[in-house]
Amino acid sequence: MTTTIDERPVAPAVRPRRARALPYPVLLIALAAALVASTLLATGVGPVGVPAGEVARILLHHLGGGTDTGAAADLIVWRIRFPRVLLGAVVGAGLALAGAVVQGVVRNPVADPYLLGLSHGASVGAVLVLTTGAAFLGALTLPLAAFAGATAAMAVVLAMARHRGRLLPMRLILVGVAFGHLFAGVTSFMLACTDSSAAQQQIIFWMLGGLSGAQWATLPVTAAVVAGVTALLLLRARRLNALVLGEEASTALGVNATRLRWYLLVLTTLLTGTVVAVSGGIGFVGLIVPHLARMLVGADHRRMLPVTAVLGAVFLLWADVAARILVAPAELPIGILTAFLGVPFFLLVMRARGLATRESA
Amino acid sequence: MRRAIVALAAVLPLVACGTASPSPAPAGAGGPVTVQDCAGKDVAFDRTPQRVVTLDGYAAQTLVRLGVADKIVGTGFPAPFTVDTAPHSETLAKIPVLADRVPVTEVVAAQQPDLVLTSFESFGGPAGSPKDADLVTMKAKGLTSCLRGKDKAALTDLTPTYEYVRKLGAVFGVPDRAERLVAELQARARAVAAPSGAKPRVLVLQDNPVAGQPLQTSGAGTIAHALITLAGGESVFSDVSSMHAEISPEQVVQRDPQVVWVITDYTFAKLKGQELVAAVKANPLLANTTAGRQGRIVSTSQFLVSFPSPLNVDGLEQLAAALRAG
Amino acid sequence: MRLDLDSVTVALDGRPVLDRVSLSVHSGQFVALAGPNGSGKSTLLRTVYRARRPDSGTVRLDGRDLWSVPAAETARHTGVLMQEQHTGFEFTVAETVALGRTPHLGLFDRLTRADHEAIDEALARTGLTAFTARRVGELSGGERQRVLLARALAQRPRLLVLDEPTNHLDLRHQLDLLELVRDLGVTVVAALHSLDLAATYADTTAVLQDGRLVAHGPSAEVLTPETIGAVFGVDATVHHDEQGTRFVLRPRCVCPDEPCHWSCRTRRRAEVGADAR
Repeated sequence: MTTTIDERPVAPAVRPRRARALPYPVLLIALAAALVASTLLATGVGPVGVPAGEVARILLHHLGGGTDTGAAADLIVWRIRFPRVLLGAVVGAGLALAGAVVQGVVRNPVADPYLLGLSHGASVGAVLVLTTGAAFLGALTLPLAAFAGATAAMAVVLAMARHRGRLLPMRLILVGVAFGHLFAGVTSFMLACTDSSAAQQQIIFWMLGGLSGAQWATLPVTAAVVAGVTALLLLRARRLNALVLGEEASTALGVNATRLRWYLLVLTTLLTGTVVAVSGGIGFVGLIVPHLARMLVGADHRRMLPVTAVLGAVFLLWADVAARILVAPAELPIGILTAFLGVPFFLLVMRARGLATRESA
Repeated sequence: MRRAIVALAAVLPLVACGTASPSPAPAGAGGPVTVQDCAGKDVAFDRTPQRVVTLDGYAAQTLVRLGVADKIVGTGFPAPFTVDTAPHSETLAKIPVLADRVPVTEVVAAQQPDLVLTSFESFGGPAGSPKDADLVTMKAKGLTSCLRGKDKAALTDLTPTYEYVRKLGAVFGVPDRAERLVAELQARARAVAAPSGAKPRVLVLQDNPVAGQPLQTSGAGTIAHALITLAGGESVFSDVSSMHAEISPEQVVQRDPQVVWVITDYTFAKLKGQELVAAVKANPLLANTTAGRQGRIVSTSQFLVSFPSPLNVDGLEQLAAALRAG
Repeated sequence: MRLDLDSVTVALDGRPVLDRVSLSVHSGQFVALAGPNGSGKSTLLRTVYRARRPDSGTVRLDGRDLWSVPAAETARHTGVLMQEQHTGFEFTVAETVALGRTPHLGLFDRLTRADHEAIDEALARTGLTAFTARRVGELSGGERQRVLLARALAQRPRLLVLDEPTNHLDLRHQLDLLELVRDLGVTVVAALHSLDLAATYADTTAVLQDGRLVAHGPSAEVLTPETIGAVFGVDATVHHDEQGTRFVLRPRCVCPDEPCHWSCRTRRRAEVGADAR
């Protein structure tokens, strides 16, 4: 007979508050189905009315390998709307996933990819191109400059945050926030300095973010990077769990905390840089969607990372639909919509679930 | 940290304002036509465009005066039409309006245009509006006005306006009409050109100044600056260049403008038209300037003077008359 | 699992925290580490679970240098219960304990039946079976301490490293925990504040002072009034009887300078009163 700690609770055990209505696989399949349905529905909505049957016919025609017919509806649905909807899903998944990972890496629930100065770095790169009119790489100049900006920002932040070979969360946050402000200042300076109102408009639009840059030509690269990085992140989900328990705990579990943080942050930079390059600084998705996922399936990253990705995709896709049709035929910056849609939903769920009701944790 | 600052310092000079874009050279008329865009790249037309979308009213106003209004299948931002006059205003009123502002890509694509025009400096400025890449997707050509010259010199005449008229004349196979229109505009401009002599110092205002906040003015790179020069005045802020430059109230007092030219109808101004002019007249900030003391406050709608259009000369006539009246 | 520290030295900002400590623990032995705050107990434990690499000297597990094998391999047989208590967002008890299997799993592995058995057994032994769906953040400090022990047990370790494991625990759970740990039959190195618990549960006690190992041996031989007095600076009386070993500890009342410790004054007053009677 082995010894055990004999537990006779004095008070009756509190029932677990997290009632799991759906088994996890069912939930994941339902979310995936919702994503596919959303993609099709969102393609049917826009400032120019195209009948649903026509949309379906056009999509089937092209998905079956058909070529452009030259009709206006064909152009709108297949060349303008559909890539934009797909880009929304890809960017949403990428941003949400990056947010979840950064929150885990710095063990801070209010972290998002932008907290570490990534998006501000991307802004510096993009604004540099917009104000100087540089176009040395053609249409790819802007996304590549934004990506380079994000990467450079992360490199600077990581280099400055490193202390005796270790990478500690609070130092990362402090350095990231500090550099974020510096980069934001540089961007504002360039904005104030440029005398082209067209460039100013583009800079402001870029800083708020948007999906109107969707192109079939660039979509596959973005989607491939997001998919690849997602796969690599999912493989590290269990170790990310250990990392969240703290440096000593992960060491005790055979996880090298500093090395894992480096690995995850480099992947996050790749992810964020890629999506920010094509969509600008869309805020809020990376902050809020991971929490929604945790509310649904708990904090275990093996379960919440896939849910985060799918939720992020669905969320941004619909936010973009709202951005396109609310003031049609003009368009709203999508950042406004992510806040308008995200905050009320988030607060509702948070109150319903009774989250963050203790001082610690 | 030091390394980061050095890196920043290396980057900052690049920020120094300005873009380089050579001015266009119009091609000869007849048959296939090739013109140059603002970056100096060739834009080739095998045949005269048949379905034109003008993203803003200014481009439509130009086409109407070239007699090719029938090619316009839709326009955005029709607000400039409000200041146009007969007989053009009737023609403009018949053009289908796609959006009150600059329309989004999808709405433009629905018109299946073969040419998209804007009198703004570039495509893709307003949120969701077609970018250069979108024009490629919808297989349409695109032309913008080339407001700023290849060097960053101040704009002192209406060359951008005349060049855009000539370029569009070439594209639509009506170079003669374009030349006639330019000649007519130039003649009107010469007629109001001020005799050499004392140049009144002119301050451009785009909104009613609020105490403690910077004022917005039109810099040296704008049509407004060209018009002040042509009308025989001198802008007090020719050392700033942008379209909505922010300047300090102290500088306004120090430079002591003799005339305040209020450009009305900007979207960010709370008051429109004559209400704005009245508010500026009552503004205590300007009371200590010569213009304020002498009550020399004149106004023009931004739809005449913001972007290259044949109506720029109407704005010039208004300003010249007002300067002379003083 | 055998543990050997050979002349282990650790310096922090040039100041030695561990000074040439050599200590051998044979398989299945329970060693208590005693010593005042800052004597190097935690640092010694950290060198054992690889959180700190010694500046010189070696740590060997079953004769192999700890730093010559991959970290994951060390973690497969070393379970740790440290003082740091991060709960990590809103993990449940089950999720936290399941993390104990991390070192046994590759990137592509899923939890097997054997893994689940180890987790369930750890939960059962620590009396947490009814708590599995609770969030760790909602538990009391003592309950959390048991969750962390369960996580260490789920690793199925052959060496357990415990840093003040009885912190946050009430009296009964303190005894339960040490009882459980001793009955596992694995090698145990535990920093303990309570000399009573050290004498009761540990086979041997190692005494640290200012980073140096000043004594190591059977608890009864090591924890003498002289050693306790020299290391902790308190007066001690040790009672051995058939019920075990008890320590009565009093502050030193050699007070050349007033103010002396309050209890000394009380005691002196009592003594003076007794004399007067």
